[in-house]
Amino acid sequence: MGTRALLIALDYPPVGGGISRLLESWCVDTAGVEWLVVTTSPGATRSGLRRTTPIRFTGDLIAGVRWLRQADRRIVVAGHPYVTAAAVAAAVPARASSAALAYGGEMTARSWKPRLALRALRSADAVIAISQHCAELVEQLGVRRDRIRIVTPRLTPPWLAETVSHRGPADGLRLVAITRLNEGYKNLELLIRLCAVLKPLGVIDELTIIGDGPRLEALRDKALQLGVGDTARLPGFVPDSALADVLARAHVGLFPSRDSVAEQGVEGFGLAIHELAAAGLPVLVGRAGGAVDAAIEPWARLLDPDDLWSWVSAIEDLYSREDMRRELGQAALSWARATTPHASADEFSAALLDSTRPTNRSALR
Amino acid sequence: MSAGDQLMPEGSQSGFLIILAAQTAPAEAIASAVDVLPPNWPVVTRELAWGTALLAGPAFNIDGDHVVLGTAVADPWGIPGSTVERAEMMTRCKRYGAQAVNLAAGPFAVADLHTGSITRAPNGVVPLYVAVGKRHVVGTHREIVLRLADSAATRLVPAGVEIHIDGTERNVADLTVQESIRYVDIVDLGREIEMHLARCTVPLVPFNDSALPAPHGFRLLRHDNALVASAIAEQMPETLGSVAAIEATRRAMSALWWQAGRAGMQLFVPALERPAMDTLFLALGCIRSRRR
Repeated sequence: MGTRALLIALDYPPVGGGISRLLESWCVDTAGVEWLVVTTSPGATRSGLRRTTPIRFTGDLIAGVRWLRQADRRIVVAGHPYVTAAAVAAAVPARASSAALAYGGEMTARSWKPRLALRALRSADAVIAISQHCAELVEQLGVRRDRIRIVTPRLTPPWLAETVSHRGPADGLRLVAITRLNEGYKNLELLIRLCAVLKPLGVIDELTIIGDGPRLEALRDKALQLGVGDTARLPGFVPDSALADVLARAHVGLFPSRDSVAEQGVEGFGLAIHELAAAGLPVLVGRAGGAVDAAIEPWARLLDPDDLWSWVSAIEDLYSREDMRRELGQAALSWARATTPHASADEFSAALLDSTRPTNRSALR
Repeated sequence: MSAGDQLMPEGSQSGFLIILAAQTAPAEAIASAVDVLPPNWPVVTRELAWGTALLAGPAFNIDGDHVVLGTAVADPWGIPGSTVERAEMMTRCKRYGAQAVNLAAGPFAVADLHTGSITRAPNGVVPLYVAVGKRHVVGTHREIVLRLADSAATRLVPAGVEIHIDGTERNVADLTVQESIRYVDIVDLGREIEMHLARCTVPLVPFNDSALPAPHGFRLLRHDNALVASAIAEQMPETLGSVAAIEATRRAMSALWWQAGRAGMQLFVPALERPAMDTLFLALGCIRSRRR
C-alpha cells in the first residue's frame, strides 16, 4: 500500500474559518496520499473522517495508528500547532514521520500551556508554515530551519465573480471586509475612521464588515460613536449566498490587519484577501504578518495598517480613477480564475513527502 | 532669562495659542493674553461675525478661514522626524475639514474661523477649554478662556472633538467604547510603543530639566526641539489603565505641552496617539480586574 497520512485537526469543516477549509482542501485535493482525519470539530462523519471528543481522542488516535501501519509510507500531521505533541507521539508506534502545520496567532503564546505545546514543534520531522512570517515565528520557537517548509495556501473561493462591478459617476465606493470579529489586531477601528473621514465627501457610500464574533456589538457602538452607524454596516454572520451578493455590489476589498505586540496577534496568512480578489475587487491590505504573502500585485496594495492617511489616500485614488479600479478588479479576477487549489495541495503533500523519510513496512513486524 | 528661553533653539517653530471669543473686540482679546504669552511670540487677531479670533506663537498657518496649528507628523505613532509641512496639513484641512485631525499625529490642532470652530486632535496633547460666562470662549489656554468668558469655570473639550463658538460639539475622532479582549496586555502595549520609538529616524537622548519635568510614569527624550514623553511600560496600568487615568495623563501632557511650547519645543506623546489608544480601549474593560 502507498502513502497514508493521519491528520489530527482541531478545526475542520463544517466549522468555519480559513484554516478549516484549507485543511479539507489539502486532504481532498492531494493526489497520491490517502488521508484519515481525526478531528474534534463536530459534524457528520464519512469515510476517512473520524469525529472525536477529548474522552475518545486517545482511542481514536490508536485506531488511526493501526490504520496508518498498513501503509508503506506513513505520516502523522498536526493540523494545529498545539496538537503537535500528539502527532509526534502517535508517529512513534506508527513508525511514521511527523509534521505540523504552523499558522496564525497561535504561534505567539502568552501563557505557559500553549508555550509548552509549541515546544513540541521542535520534535516534528517537518513544520509546514503558510507564510514567510509564520516560518520566522517557527524558527524563533527553536525549530531547525531545514525542517521548515513554506506552502502558500490557495483555496477555491465559494464564489467567483463573472464581471467586475461598475460604479456610477455620482456614486461613492462600496467597501467590504470579511473577517471574524474576535481579535483586536483585525484593526477594524481604522475602517470605521475611514468612513468618518470619507463619507461626508461622498467618496464612500458604505462599508460592510462581514463576519461574526464577540466584538460585533462593540464595533457597532464604535461606528455609532463616530456618527457612521448607517455607513459602516456590521451585519454579523452572512451565509455564502448573501455574501456573494454583497461582494457583487462592492467596489473595493479591505484587509487592514496589523501586527499587534500588545495582543501578540497577527495574521498568519489572510485567505480572505483571496476571497475578495475572487469577487473581482482590488484589495487594500495591511502590511503585517503573513498578509504580505497573500497580497499579490497588481490587484493588492500593501499599506501601513496604522496609518489612516495612507488608507484615505488609497481610497481617494481608487475613487478618482474608476478605470484603474476596474483594471485592478479584472486583474484580481484573472488571478482568481487561474488559481488551482490542486497545485497548493500538491505542494503541501510534496513538502510533507520531501521532508519525511520513507519507512519499510516489513521493519514494523 | 527663563529656563524655557535657554532651551529655545534659533528659528524654533514651536508653540501656539488660539482663542475664539464670541462678542469680543480684538483689543480686549489681546489684553487678556498679554501677560501670558512669551514676549517674542507674534500675535494675530481677526474680527469675525461671531467675535474675535486670537492667534499667537510661531507655529500656525492661516489660509482664508482655515488654520493649522502646531506640528503634525506622518508617523501614526507620533514619532518625531516625519513632519507634515503645514502647507500639506492645510490642504488636508481644506478637503477634510475637522476630520484632518485623524490624518496625522503629533501636537497639532485645526480651526475654521468662518464657523468659529476648533478641533482637538485625538491624542489630546493640545488642550482645548471652553467657558460660558458673559460670553462663549474656546481656546487652548485655560486662564485666558476664563478671563474672556468672565466665568468661574472652564471645561476641557474631549480629545478628538470639534467645538464651535456657540458651544455645539461634534465627535470626529474619539473612540471610547471599552472592550475586554483578554489577550491585549497594556504592558506589552508599552513595549510596542518602545519598539516604534526605537525605529525613530532621529537620535533621541534622555532629557532632564527641572523647568520641564516628566509627568509621572513617563520619561522624556529629546532631539533638537522635539520632546518625546515615553511611557514607562511597567507603569502603564497605572498611568493609562482607566479612562480617568488617561484623562489625568492628558491633562499632565497638556500642561507640559504649553511649557514646552513656551520653551520653543514640541511635545510628542506616542502613548496617546490613535494606534495606542485604539489598542488600549480593546482591553480597558478588563485591565482593572486583571490588576486585582
